[in-house]
Amino acid sequence: MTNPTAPLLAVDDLRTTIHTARGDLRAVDGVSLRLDRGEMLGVVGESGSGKSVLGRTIMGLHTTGPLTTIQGRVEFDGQDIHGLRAGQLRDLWGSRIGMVFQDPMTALNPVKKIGTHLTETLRKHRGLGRGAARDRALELLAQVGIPDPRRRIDQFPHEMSGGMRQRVVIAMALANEPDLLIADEPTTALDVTVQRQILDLLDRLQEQLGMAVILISHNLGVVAGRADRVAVMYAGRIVETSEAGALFRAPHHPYAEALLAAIPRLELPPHLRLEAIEGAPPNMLRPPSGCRYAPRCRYAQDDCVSRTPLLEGTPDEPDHRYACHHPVNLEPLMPVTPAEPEGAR
Amino acid sequence: MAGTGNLHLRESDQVLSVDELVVEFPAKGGGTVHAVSGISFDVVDGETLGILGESGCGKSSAGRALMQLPSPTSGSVRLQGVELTGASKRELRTRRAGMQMIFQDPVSSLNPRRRVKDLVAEGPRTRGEKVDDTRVREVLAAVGLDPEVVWDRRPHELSGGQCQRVCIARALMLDPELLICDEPVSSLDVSVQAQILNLLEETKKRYRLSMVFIAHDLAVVKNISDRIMVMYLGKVCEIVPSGQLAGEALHPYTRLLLESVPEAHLPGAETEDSITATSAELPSPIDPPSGCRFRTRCPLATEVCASEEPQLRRAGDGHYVACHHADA
Repeated sequence: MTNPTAPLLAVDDLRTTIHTARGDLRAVDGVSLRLDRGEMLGVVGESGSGKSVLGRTIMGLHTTGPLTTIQGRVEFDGQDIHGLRAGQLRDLWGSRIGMVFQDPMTALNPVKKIGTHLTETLRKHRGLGRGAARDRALELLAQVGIPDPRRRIDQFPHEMSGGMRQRVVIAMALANEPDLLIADEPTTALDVTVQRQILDLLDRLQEQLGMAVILISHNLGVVAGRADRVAVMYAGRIVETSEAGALFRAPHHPYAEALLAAIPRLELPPHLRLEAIEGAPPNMLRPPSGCRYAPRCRYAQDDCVSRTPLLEGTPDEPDHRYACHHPVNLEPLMPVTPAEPEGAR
Repeated sequence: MAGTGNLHLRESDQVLSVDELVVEFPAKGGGTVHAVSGISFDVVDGETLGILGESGCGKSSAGRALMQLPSPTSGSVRLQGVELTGASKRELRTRRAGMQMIFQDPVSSLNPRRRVKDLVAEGPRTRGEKVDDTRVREVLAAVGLDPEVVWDRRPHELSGGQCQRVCIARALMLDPELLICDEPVSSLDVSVQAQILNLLEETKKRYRLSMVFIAHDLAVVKNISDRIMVMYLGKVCEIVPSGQLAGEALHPYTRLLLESVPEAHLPGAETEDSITATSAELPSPIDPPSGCRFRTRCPLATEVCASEEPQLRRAGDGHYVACHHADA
């Protein structure tokens, strides 16, 4: 069944519309993407950009119903996710698609021991016996870097720190060695020193298990240096996508450029005025016509409002695609020689 | 601090002087949470002091104790030389007006039923002053809000960034000398965060404020501060001029923080002599480690770190570090 050359995940013109009391909210509005086996895609965007809804729609957590309409297609290893029955979807989730959310506490059942969280999925999807499942659970806890797994396995979630809980959630997601892991802001609730440990762990496990990962984050720094490819979302659409290094070196969409410039940088002297993006993201109940970033864009012209730019590449860089009539940084840039990183000693 | 000491205190021009501040809470199930354990610092006129640390380091408890919300367990907080600890509610109302605070979640710090015009005028009104509409308009304009547009709005009709602007306007109405900002941009998106940081810098110049800026994000703290105080588990590790944070920080904890920051601009820049925590777990503030509180996670720790608490020593101009092993 499995076709090794086909992408693991193919999303085509996906639209997720949430019907609210105040009107239809087009949270995801025409997103297409491909993900190969073993590849890590970073999806970045600010709150309301639709990145989380995209992740959840890909997983099949949002389905067409009274409050939501899904259009377009999500194909996971040849299967149409939104054509599956609830039971088939559940089988897929436990075994082939894993997920990690921002808040580890809500992903864990407070009245169940850590071990139960892990053995449940192992027994259901792998058909392991009680003893074998417990052995495997201990192995998983060790694999995600939890010290003293034999003690931890009989603890309850509240007895662990946030970082340890997130490790447990990752262990649960990886229990059956899924082909695809969707991690939605996996480190946002964690301290920076713990964040780095969790991201390093994800990196290492991805390599060991050869899984594909979609890493969703509002923090460009989290995605830079880890993802193979990056997609920047704004107001429900991907505005730019490319191999990660190229996008961070020379963003072509003005929004991606502005987002990078708005981040305070540790290597620069203090009290520098930051390049803020004026205004706020659009109201998605009534998004602006044409390019949705146009009202905040310093390069915007009349055609930005009248014609919606398509996500396209140039002959020079076919894989670096952007949706903009007036792209920036197109000339080859001076090679970036990062100044001596100041943290170095 | 992870030691103590007061070598770093200045001689004159202090707007705020904090001496041996201790904040403790009773812990659930007995015991005491040692949130802040005897820290001293000062803020001189026109200065921004950044307080940097991860959750549980006591930075927010310290900020609240400055405001007497609640009063610290012990220690002294003086604003322009006037003691605030132990003052009665009535005395505080006048003595504390020179110090105003803004918080992490701007939406929940505003009464949802009030309109912007009343929210902004609330401070002086509470003190029994009559408030002129033109003054409210002036302050709203100063924080980048169009008074005509927001005048009759309620908080839910504003974005998070706009609510934070309203909070800043509320603070400014009382003509403060010192603004305490507790994670003021942590709940905002990157693009809006830059707007608010720029606004704070402008406001500080325009109203001649001094500032205490509490946050966990290193680059944000560095951008806005003159001096940075790094806290860990209720103690001070290091005080460093912000221009020297990235290159010259000495405390192993500060260095660990620096190396943990994910950087969008220099992806994959690895340092050679990198530092790794020996343990991921933050010790309990109910039973903090003896000696240096960072020793349980510190790769440099030796016996002396358990037996003796390191004192802040001078490491350079305005740079102090509390560590037995950092090369100062």
